[in-house]
Amino acid sequence: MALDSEFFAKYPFLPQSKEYVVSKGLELTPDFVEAGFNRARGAIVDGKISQFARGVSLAYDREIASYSACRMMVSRLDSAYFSNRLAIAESKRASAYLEREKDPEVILVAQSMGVDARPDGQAFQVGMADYLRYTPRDVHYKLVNTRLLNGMVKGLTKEKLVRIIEEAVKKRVMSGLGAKGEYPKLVQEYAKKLSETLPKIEQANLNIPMENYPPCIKALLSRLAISENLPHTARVALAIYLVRAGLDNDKITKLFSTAPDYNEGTTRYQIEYIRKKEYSMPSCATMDSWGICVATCRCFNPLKFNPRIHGRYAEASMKSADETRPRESSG
Amino acid sequence: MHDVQEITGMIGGFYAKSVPKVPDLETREFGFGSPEKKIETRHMWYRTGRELADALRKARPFYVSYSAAHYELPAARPMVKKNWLGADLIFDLDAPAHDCGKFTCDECLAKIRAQTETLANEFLIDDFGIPKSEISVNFSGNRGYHIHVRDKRFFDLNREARREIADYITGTGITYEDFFHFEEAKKNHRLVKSFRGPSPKAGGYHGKIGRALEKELEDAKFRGSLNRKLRDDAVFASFMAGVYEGDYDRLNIAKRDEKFKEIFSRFAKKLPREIDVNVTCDVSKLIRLPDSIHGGSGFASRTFALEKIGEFMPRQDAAAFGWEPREVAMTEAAPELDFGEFKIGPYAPGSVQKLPATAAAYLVLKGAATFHGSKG
Repeated sequence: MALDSEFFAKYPFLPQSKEYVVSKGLELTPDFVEAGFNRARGAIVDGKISQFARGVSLAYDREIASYSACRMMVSRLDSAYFSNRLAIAESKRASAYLEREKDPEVILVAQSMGVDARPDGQAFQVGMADYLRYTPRDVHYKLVNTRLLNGMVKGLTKEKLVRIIEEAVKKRVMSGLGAKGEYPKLVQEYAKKLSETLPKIEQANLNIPMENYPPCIKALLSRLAISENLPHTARVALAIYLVRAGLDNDKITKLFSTAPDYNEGTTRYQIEYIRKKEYSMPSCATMDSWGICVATCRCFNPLKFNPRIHGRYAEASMKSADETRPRESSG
Repeated sequence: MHDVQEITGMIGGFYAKSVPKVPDLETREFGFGSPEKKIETRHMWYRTGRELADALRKARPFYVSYSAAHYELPAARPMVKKNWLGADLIFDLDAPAHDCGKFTCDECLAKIRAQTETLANEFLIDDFGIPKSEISVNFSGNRGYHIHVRDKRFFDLNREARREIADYITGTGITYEDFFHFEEAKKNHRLVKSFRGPSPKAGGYHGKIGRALEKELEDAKFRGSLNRKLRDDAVFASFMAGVYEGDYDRLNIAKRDEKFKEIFSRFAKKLPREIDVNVTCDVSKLIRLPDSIHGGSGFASRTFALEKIGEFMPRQDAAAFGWEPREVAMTEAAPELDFGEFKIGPYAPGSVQKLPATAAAYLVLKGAATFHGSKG
C-alpha cells in the first residue's frame, strides 16, 4: 500500500499527512489559501467538498494545504455552526474515498485515527469502546445485535467500518477548531468573507419573553442556535420546557431546525409525542445530573424560575469562584 | 431515637476499626445519609484516606456513597463546574420483589448472586474482554450486589454509550433480522439466496442463541418438528456442520422464517437480568461506597474476590457489628434467619430476645424490633 501524496490528499486530517506537510516544507501560498476558502465555502454553504483531480500529482499538495488553510479560517471564526458544518462535510468526503479503498487502506486510516480496527477473516472487527463511541444510535448498530467477543465487535461489513471511521473523522476535525492563533493576513481576509455566509437565525415569536427563561434553558437555546449537537437528554428537557412555556409545535420545530442532524419529520414527531404524553419538566436536580444545569438559582424546577426572585442568585453563582472545599457534614 | 443513637454508636465502632479503601479517592464526590434520607449531604471531597476516615468517625453516617465519576473539582457546584473526567462502569443487581418481604430470603439472595456471577463471567469477561483485575464485586448491603469496572477503555464513555452496554446486558433491542436473514451470494455466476442464522461459536448473542438452539436440537422431537429428516443422525450431523458456519440452509425447513422467529422470541423472552439500567447509564451517580455500612440492614457492603462469589453468605460475611449479646424487644414477627454461626427466630411480636449485636441491629433496622434496656 502506498503512503503517497495522493493518499494524504484524500485523508489530510491524518497524523501522517501532517508529517508530510512538515517534512516537505509545504507553505501556504495565496493559491493554497484560495483553495482553502473554496473548500470551506463548499462545506459550509453546500455541505459538500468537491473531489480533487486524480492522477494530477500537482493537485495533491494543493488539496492537502487547502485543508490546513480551511481549518485556519474556520478556527479564526470560532463558531460552533461553522465547525459543525465543516466537520460533517469533511467526514462525508472521507467516507466517499474510503468506500473505494481496499481493505488494508481502510484499516490503516482507522488505526491512524486511533480506532481499534482489525481484519476478521473476510470482514472487520472493532474494539467495543470505539464501536460505542462512533456508531449511530440505530437498532441495527446496537451492541446487543453484534457478534461481540472478548471486547471486539466481530464480523463487521466494510460499510459499517466506514461509517465508524466517518464519525471518528467528524470528531477529529471538530477537535481543536476554534483554537486561538496568529493567522496570515490573507487567511483572516478570507475568514471574514466566509463569516458573511452565516445564515440569519430567525427569532421565533415566543409567548413568554425569552429574557424570562432560566439560565439553563437560555444556554441550551444558544447552544442549539450555533448548531451544537445537543445530547438526547438536553433536547428532551428543552422540548418539554418549550411545550410547557406555551410554544406551539411549529415554533419549537423551528427552534430545533439549527440542530446539525435536523430532520423536520422526526423533530415534529418527538415534540408531538412529548406534548401528548404530558411529560413533566425535569427538576433542577435532574437537570444537574444531566450536566445541563449552569447556575445555582434556587428555583428547584426550571418552570418555576422567576427572574425577579431567582435572577440574582443565578447571576451570583455564575460569577462566583468555584466552590472547591467540601461542605462538612454534621454528625 | 434511642435506636438511632445505639446504631450510630455501632457505626462509629465499625469505622474506628475499618475504613473503606477507595481507589482514586481524590477525584470522587462523596455523600452521607441518615435514616431518613440515603443521601442527605453530598458534593463532599476528601484528598486522602485519612481525611475520609476522620469524616466517617466524626459523622458516623447511616449511609456513605461515592461517585462512580471522577472529577477535577469533586466539590464544585453546579455539576458542570466539577469538570467530569470519566467514570467507572457500574452494575447494580437487586433481588426482584418476592413474597419474602423485608427479610430477603436465602433463595432470593442466592438467585441474585448467581445472576451477578453470570454477569461478571459471561458478559464482562467473555464478551467485553474485561480483565478480572479490573472487576470489583461487592454486596450491596441489603438485597443485591454491585459490580464496579475500572477498565480504562470505558472511562470516558458518555450516557448514550453506557445505555448501549446496559441494553446489551438486559437484551433490550435484540432484533430478529440481525440474527436470521436471507443472504444473496454469487454461486457459479448466479445469485443464490440462502438462509443464515447465528453460529454457536460466534460472539455475543449470536453465540448465545446459537448454543441455546444447539441444545434444543439435542431433543429428537424438537428436531422432528423442524423437519422429519432431522431425526436421522447423518442428516442432523450435516445440518449442524452448516449451522456452525451460520448456514441454516443445508436442509430445507418448511416455513423456516416463521419457525425460527418463534424460537428467537422464546429465547428473547428469557433474557431479562435484574440490573438497574439507570445506575449504569448515569455518569454522575452516587453509589454505595464498597465496604461501608448499609443503614437499612447494618451489614457492610463488603467487597470479595469474584472467584469466591459462590461461597458468599451475606448475613455471615457482611456482618459488621460483631457478636456481643444485645437485648431487643420484638415489635413485629421475624422469620427464622441463618447467620452462619447461629440461627435466630422465628420470633413473635412482644417477646424479648438476647441476640448477637449484628442480628439485633438487623432486626431493629428492619423495623421489627427495638433495643431493650441498657447495653449487654
